[in-house]
Amino acid sequence: MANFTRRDLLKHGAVLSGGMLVATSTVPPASYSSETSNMKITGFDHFPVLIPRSEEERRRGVYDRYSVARITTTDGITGYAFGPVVPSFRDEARDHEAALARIRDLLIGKDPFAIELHLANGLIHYGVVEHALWDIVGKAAGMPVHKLLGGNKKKTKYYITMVWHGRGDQSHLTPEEQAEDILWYAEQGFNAIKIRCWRENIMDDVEIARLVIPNAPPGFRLMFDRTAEFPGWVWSYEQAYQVARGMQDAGVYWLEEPFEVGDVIKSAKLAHAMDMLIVGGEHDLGTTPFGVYMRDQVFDIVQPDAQWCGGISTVKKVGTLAQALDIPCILHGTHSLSMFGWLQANAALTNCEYQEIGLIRPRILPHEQWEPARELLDSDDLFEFDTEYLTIPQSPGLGIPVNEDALEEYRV
Amino acid sequence: MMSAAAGLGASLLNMTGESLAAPLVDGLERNAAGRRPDMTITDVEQFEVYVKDQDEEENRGEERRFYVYKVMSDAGISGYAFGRFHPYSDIPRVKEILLGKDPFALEDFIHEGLCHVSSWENAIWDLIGKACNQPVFRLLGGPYRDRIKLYLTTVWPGNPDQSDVSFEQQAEDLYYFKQNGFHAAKIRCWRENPMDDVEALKHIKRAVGDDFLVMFDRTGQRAPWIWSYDQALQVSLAMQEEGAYWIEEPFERENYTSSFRELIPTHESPSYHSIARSARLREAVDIRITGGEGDNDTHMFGQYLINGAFDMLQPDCLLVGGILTSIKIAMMCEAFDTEFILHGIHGLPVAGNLQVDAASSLPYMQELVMTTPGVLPQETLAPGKRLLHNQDALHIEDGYMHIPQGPGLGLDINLDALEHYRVRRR
Repeated sequence: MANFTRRDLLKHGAVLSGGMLVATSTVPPASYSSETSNMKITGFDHFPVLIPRSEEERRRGVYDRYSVARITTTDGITGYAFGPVVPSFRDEARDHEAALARIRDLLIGKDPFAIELHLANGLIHYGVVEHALWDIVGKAAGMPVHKLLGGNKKKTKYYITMVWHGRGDQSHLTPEEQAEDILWYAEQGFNAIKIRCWRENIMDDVEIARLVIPNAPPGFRLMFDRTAEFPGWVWSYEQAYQVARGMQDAGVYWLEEPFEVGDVIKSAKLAHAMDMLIVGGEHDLGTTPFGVYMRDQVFDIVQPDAQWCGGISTVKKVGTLAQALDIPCILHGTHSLSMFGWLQANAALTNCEYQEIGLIRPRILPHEQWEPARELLDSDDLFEFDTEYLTIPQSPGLGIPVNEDALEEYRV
Repeated sequence: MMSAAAGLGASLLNMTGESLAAPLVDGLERNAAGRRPDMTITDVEQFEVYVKDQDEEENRGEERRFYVYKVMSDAGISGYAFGRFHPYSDIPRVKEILLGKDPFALEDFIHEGLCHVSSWENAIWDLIGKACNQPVFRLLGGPYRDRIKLYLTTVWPGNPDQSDVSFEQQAEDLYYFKQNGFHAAKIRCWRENPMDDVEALKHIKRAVGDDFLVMFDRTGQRAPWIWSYDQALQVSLAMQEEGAYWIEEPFERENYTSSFRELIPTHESPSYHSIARSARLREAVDIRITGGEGDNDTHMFGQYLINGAFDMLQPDCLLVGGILTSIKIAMMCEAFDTEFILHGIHGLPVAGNLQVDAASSLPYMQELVMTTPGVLPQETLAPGKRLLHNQDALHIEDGYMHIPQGPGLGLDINLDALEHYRVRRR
C-alpha cells in the first residue's frame, strides 16, 4: 500500500480508518439486496370479461360485464386490477388497442416497483394499470397496499349512489317515487345515499330532499350530484344558488360538482356562500387541479377518482395535501371488483370518511349488483360489509382473490 | 491499541443477553396466500455510539457520534435508524405511542405525535422493510433513481458569519470539491455587509465555473440578524446576476416545532409575515427562494404552498417527521409544481434521506451538512462505516451518492460493532 496516498485510496473507494483497512470496490457489489430487485414486467393485457346473466337480471341492475388489467412478471407474481383502461369521458378511450400498445411500451421489460417513474412517463393516464402495479408491489412485499403507505384502517363507512333506470335526469319519476325508494334503503339501515339533481325543473330535486330527510332515521345523510356539464346543460350561478339554498335548508349533506369542470370561480363563490358542503374533483387527472381547488377553496371536500386521477399514488398525494390543509378527501367511487383498489387507496388516507358505491339501481342491493363477479374469484364474497361499513381487504396487494381459470373462461 | 476488528468478539450475545442473530434476509415467512404475518412493536431503545477506539486519533471533519434508534418486534426482528438526538425524556411518550402496535400504522403514530421525534419513524421503516425484504423506497413507488447528486453545505470554522475567511479561500475550498467530482455547494450569507457575500460569489464562480452550482443560506433567524425586505431584494438580485442557484431562508422562520426550538426565540404561532415577504421577494426575482428546514409535520408546508412562499421546499427528513412525512411533503409540492430537496445531514443518518430521494420523482439533489473545507464527504463518513457490514452503502462516486439497495434503510448494521462503540451511561 506504500505507493498509495490517502487521497488515492479515497478516490478508489477504499477507506483507512483506525489503523484498519476496510476495502470497498468502486462498483458497489450487490451484497445486501432484496429478493425482488431484479423483477421485470414481462406482459400486459387488458380485456373484457362477461359472466352472462338474463336480460331481466341486467335490467334489475346486476352487473355482468367487467374489464381487467393483468401484468405478469419474471418472478411469477401477477398483478390484477379491474376497471376500464381509460375513463369513458376521455378521448383515448376510443382506441383501446392503441392505449394497450402505449402501455406495453411503457412497461414491458421495466421494474414494476418504479411506479413514480412510470407515472411520469405517461402511465398516469391509465389508473387501472397503476392499480395492477401496486398489486404486484403489495404481493412482493406480502402486505396489503394501504399498509405500505402508512394506513391502518380496518373498515370504512360507505355511501351508495343511486341512479334509477330510465331518463338520465330521472324526470320520468316523481319526487315522491324517488323519496319512497330512498326511504326503503334507509329502513334497511343504509345511512348515506347520493342521487342526481339533473332535472330541468330544478326545484323538483330539492323536493326529494324535503320528502326524505324528515322521514329518515336520525343521522341519515342525503347528498346530491349535479355531475358538472354531464347532464348536457349547466346551471347558472343563480340557479345553483337557488337549488343549494333549498338543499341546505332541507338538511342535505353535500352538493357535488354544481358547475362545469374547471369553473373554479363560480364554485368557490358558492362554497363561500353556503354552509352546506360543495364538493367535486372526480374528473381531474394528476395533482395540479387539486392544488388549485384547495388553494382557492373551490370545494369543501375534494373527490379524486382512484383511477381517473392517475391511481393510488396520486390519491395519496391529493389526500396528503388535503390533510395538510384540513380538507377531507373522499374518493369518487366505483363498485364491485374495482373497489379492491379503491379500498386500498381509501385506507391509505386519514381523511377519507366514505367509500362510494355506485351505481345502484333501486331497489337492488350492493351484493346483488355484483353477484356475478364472485364467479371470477376464489371466494364466496367480494367484501365483508354491513349496511354502514365495508371491511378493508388485508390480503397482499389489492387483495383480490382472482381465479385465473375463471377469468379465461369468461374472457370475451 | 485495540483495533476495531479485535474488539468485535465472536460472542453471540450482547450485554443484555439478547441474541445477535444474523440480519434477516428473506423477510418474514408468508402464509399460503403470500401474506407476511402481522407484527407488534414490543420495545424501543435509544442509545449513543461514538466510533473511536482507544488512543485513536480523530481527524478533522469526521462524523463519529451517532444516535441509534431501535424498534423491536415480536417477529424476532428489529429496525434500526441513525437519527438526530432526541431527549431521552421523550421515551415514555414514544413507548406509549408505539408499544403493542402494528408497526405499519405510521399515519396513526404521526397523528399521535411521533413526528416530533421522527428518528423513530425511520427505525420503524427499517423494521417494515426487513419484514417485507424490500428497501423502503420500493414500498413507496420507487425506485425513481438509483443515485442522487450531492451538494455540500460548507461552513468554515471561525466566525459563524465567515467574515474571517477570505473570498479567495472560499473559492479555493469549493474548487477542491469540484476537483473531487462534486457538482454543487452551499455557503452562508451572514456577513455584516450582505454585498460582501456577493463578492465571495464572484470569486467562487471564477474558480468553479458555470457547471458547479453555488447556493446561499441566510438561515432565517439563525443568522446574526434578519434582513429587511429591501436588503433581501438587493442581495437576491445581485446573487442572481452573478449566477447563484438559490437563496435559502431570506427571512425568519415562522414557527418552530423542531428541535432547534430551544435555540432560537420565536413566535408561539405563525404570524405569516415572513411567508408574505418571501412570496413578494419570489415574485420580484428569478433566482430560487427556498426554505422549510425548520418545520415539523405537513401543515406549515401546506401554507407555504398555497401562499407561494418558496420556489423549493426543503424539509429536514428527521425534523419534519421522518421518511413518510418527507414523502408527503414531496407529494404536496408536486401539486404546486414546486421544487423539493431535502435538507441535509451528514454521516449514517443520511440513509433515511436516500429512501425519500429514491422513492419520489422530485428531489434532484441531496444536501450533506456540515462539510468542513478540505474534507471530502467520503472521509467524513469513513468512521461510521465501521458500524456496517455492507461497506458499499452510501457509496459516493462522481459527486453522486448511490441509493442502498438492501432491505429497510439498506444499512446492514454490524451489531457487534454497535455494541462495541456504544456509549455506556451509568
